Amino acid sequence: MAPPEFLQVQNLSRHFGGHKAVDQVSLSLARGSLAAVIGPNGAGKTTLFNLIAGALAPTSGAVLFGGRLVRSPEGACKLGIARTFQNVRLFHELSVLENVAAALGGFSFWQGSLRLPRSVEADRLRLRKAHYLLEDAGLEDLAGRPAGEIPFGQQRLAELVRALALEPKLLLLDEPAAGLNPTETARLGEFIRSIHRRGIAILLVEHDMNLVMGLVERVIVLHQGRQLADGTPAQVRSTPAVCAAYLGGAAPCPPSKEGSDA
Amino acid sequence: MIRRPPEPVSYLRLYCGPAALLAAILLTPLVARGAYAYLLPLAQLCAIYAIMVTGLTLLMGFTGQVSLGHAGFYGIGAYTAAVAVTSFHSPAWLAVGLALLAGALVALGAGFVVLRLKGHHLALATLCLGIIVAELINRSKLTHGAEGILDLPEITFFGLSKGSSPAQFLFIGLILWLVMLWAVNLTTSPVGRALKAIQGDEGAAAALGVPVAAVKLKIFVASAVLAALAGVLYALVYSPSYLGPEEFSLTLSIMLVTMTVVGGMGSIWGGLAGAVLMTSLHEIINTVGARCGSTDISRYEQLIYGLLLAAMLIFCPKGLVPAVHRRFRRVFTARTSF
Repeated sequence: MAPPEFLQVQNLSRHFGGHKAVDQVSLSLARGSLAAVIGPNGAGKTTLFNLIAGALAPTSGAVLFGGRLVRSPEGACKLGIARTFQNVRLFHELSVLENVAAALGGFSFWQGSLRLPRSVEADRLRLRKAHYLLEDAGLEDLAGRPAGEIPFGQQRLAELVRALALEPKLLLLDEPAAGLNPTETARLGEFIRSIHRRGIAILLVEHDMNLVMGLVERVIVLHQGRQLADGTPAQVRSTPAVCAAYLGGAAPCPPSKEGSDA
Repeated sequence: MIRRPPEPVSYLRLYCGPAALLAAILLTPLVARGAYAYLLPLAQLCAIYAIMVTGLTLLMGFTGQVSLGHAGFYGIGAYTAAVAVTSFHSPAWLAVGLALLAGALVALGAGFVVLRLKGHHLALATLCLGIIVAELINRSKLTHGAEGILDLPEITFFGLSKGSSPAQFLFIGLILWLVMLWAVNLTTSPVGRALKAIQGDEGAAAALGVPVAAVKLKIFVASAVLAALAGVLYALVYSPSYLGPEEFSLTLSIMLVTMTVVGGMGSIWGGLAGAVLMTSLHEIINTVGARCGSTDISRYEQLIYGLLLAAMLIFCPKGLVPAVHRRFRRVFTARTSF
């Protein structure tokens, strides 16, 4: 096995009854990479994400991160995996700022019960950090608003900031551009690039092909739970099986137009 | 608009509420004198229920876990203490310790299983828990079954005896004050954030590293211990002439949930307001009934509670205190914007 184990997905399967949502998927991801998982609806992309993030237990196979087994969402979080959700899942009871601060820990019941100046000071630092993170994303004006009341595009961004607050090594983004308009999508692309430049590895599921093809260096194609292709965007685009999966039957691939739309 | 870096709630703002509560508790015996002395036992009951409702507010209002069985923990607290004192002649401090321990252990065991459930399923499971405890109390020899425990002995409790009503009230009131102080601290700390995160979305909270199962269990046990503590205070300090199983039935569990909802689920102070209001309502209904010469007004009591709860859910679903708070904030911001 190659020594730098970052993310290793080994023969991973997850069945729901007789349905094989993810079927014998193996892949590995290098430190600091930027990759996308694509595939038609129902290909098993989100299931794969839930498995990697520890939110679902695999039927068989394993997810290893840094050589350690991912068993639970909390465990994945401790190992350095953060995620966002396909349908934004902010805490509506909390403000935008508190949503981000919720990722910064400090959940000791004893310290919470006594609320000594020391722990108040620690929480002040948490709130400041959350505030700076929101400032980075241009959301500081919305910090005090209830998270459910801000526009959807900004909710997506806030959820991304919340995931970043965990200081992850790997960031899983489940359809980050869903529901965003073209301007917001372009801004999101820039934001994702800047996260990647900080050395954080990113794996994203996305339907917006313009965003995917212009952004990532590697594309993994899933179809009916199985891995169909794995390579650079250009390679994947010219794989006949991929075109067949997307367009149905034995559709011919459109002529490759490498570099023309990047 | 000038943007300041965010700050945790300051001690000054945080402790305004507890300071006012302390003043109210200390003033109550001064008001409830002479012709108003009958208010003192009522105030004791208010404080006892408020202790329980505070636990329920943390559990239901903050963490989003419904319990329809907290009368069971109240019963466990009251009966453990009463049986320890009457049947085993244990000293008061030991009886209190045993009662709290019993509440905590039952909550730990039950919570471990029951808290895997969500929503309606959790409500039903806790409902069953409450019924099981009520049945055990009703059928056990140790608790004297349906007969109840007739004469709780007059126990001295830090120099208090049954006779000195103001001292008893102050004792219960100060315990309530400490409980409120604890709850205020907890809910404004990162733990409060974690509780609300769990209420909002358990999956997302877990993905942020919130130990969801452990936090839920802790808050469930804490609320059960508070209910047991209230039970102890009811049995040993409020000391009714008779401790019977019907006090700890499903009706009380539902009453507690009503108090929590009426006052406002997302606010510790809402729970206190709900407890005081609903407990007083019981007295008001009975007093008015007696004045009007109606002997069976209590037949309509459940109806009045039901109507009240329905009206609250329709007109002010977030509860009294949040509604009032919002109204005031609107007035306040309207003024400052000029």
